[in-house]
Amino acid sequence: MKNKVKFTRMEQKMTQEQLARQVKVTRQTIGLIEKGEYNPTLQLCVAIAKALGKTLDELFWEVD
Amino acid sequence: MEKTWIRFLLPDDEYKRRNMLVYFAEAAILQLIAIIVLLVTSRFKPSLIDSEIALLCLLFGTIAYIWIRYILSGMEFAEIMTEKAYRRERKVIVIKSTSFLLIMCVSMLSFYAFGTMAVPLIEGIIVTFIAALLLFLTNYVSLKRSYQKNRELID
Repeated sequence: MKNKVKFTRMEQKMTQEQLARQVKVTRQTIGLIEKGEYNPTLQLCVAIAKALGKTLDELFWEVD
Repeated sequence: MEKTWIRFLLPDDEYKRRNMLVYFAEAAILQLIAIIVLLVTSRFKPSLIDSEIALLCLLFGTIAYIWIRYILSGMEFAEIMTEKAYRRERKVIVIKSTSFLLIMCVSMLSFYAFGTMAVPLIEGIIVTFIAALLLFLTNYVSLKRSYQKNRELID
């Protein structure tokens, strides 16, 4: 699943490690989500959106 | 977190937890197939496989399947991202395996000295050596796979 997690995280000068710690997953999981190789649960999507101060739409909604 | 009684066996990380559930499910299906095959063969050739050996094979086969899948998945060392961290962890693995080998050899020698060993000393040492080698190899392969996987995910 394509998403804007990496872009938003870098925009906020946050490292993968910091985001991983905030949402209580491993850095590997964050890396996989950013690359679109793992589809997180809604619960984790919400946690990431909150940590980055964005809405689910802004991070995960695909616009053609 | 999934509502299941095997929750105590599952890791906290969501990605790891989901994959572990898949490995458990795959192992259960394979076990089911093996049981069906054993039931059919025991009907036609009862003396073909000893029941105790069949049960042991099922037990170790299931554990080995989950273990191998976990090692090859590269999920174990999820935080090893840099060359430095990889080298440090590799050193830890060598120390861990060597300590295991030394502790087991010393305890075996002491058991042998007090005459409580039922098997010959050389057999015990060979088994210990194989166990230490297995410990090292599984950890090393897992570390290497994890590092390779993590390197591609680094920002």
